[in-house]
Amino acid sequence: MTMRTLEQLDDHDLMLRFGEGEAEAFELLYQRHRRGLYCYFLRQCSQPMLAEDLYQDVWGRVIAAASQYRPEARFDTWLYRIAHNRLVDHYRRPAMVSVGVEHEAIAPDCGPHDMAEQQQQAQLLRHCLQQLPSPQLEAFMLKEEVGFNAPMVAEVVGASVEATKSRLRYAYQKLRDCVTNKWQEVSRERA
Amino acid sequence: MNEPESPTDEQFVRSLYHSLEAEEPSAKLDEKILNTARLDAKKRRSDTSLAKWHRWQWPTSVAATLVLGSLIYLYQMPASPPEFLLDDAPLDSSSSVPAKPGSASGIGLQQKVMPSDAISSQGDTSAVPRQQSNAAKRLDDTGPPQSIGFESREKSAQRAESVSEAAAMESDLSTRSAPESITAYPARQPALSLEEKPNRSAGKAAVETDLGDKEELELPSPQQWLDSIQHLLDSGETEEAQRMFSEFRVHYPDFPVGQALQEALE
Repeated sequence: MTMRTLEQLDDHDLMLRFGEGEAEAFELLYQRHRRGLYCYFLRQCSQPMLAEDLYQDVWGRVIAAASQYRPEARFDTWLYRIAHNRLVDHYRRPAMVSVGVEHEAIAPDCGPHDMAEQQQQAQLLRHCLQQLPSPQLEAFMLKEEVGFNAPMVAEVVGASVEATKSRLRYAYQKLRDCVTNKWQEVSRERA
Repeated sequence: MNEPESPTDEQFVRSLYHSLEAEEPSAKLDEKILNTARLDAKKRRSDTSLAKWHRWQWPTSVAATLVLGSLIYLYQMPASPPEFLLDDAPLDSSSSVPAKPGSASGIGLQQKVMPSDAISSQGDTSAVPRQQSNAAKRLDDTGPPQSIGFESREKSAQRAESVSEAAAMESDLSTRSAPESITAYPARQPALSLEEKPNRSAGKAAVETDLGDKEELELPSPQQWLDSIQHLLDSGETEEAQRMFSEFRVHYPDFPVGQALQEALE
């Protein structure tokens, strides 16, 4: 089967093809989900090396499970369910992500004088993301990075839809407040 | 928390988040994962093909065994004459006229007539029965053991003709002379053999014709006759032995008899 024909297949069919031994199907599947999954881990882990380890481990599990894969749910929810479990296994208990290296990288005294205002605020958002509680951060990442809606997020994280909606609402509100406050601080310092 | 603010918060944060620089896994990490997937796919392909073979292994083996067994059975199965030869062959039991060699009317007649034609001029009485027997045997050998049921009558006739020619050639090679009276008996052996195996390529007409000469065919062979005479001599019945010997000479006047037997009879 040509690559063009493979591109017309959805994730289910690609996974089934890979389960039958077609490596090209996996390559396409990987290209579709690599960035979202990587960001999912990177935003929730303070260490990029740890994020890479978890990322690689999840794909290894997908590869190993390919022969037994049955399309009972959406592939992406299945994939992020594996990722969620892997993250929970690693931390045992989802905890607040501490401010790490990236916090220093976006510190206001880094001299963002030449950056555009939105770009500066985006860097502040990156810092604020690391201050979110893990459930809210995970729900936010799944919604914004992967594109899931509230029910799908709820399915991945194993929570009710209402609880997920609540987490999302709090996450957006906290992030906006955080960015606004930090931007005011930066403006005051600049003034 | 007021509901109208939520979309605003969401839009504000979303616009900021998507303006962030996209972070991607390193190319090295990508290659590592893809290589793992390729190896796994390759292994799975070979496993799948092996599993397919394992799934068909037993049915294929059983089918091959059945085919082989059937072929062996068909090749070993005793030959039987085709039905049309037994049912449709022209039956003329009253006919005592010998068939011409090469005609399709029956091999039995050819066997009976052919050697007399060949031997009457130069055949040997002692050699003739053996030749006839050989010819009959060759007829059996060259007969269609497997495909007889599918062979036409013309083919049977051709085979019979070739057999009679072969017997004639053997007779020509013989150096001894045959008496005129030998013309009656050489056909006995092949005729008997045909009677024993009526299903061979002879055909029903030939067998029916041979039945008319059955009395003549019941004469023992010269050697059997001489053995009986010797047995009589050994048991002291000399007169009976002499009587049998004279009768033997009537039928086989020139058959060579051993010196010891002749002296014992005299």
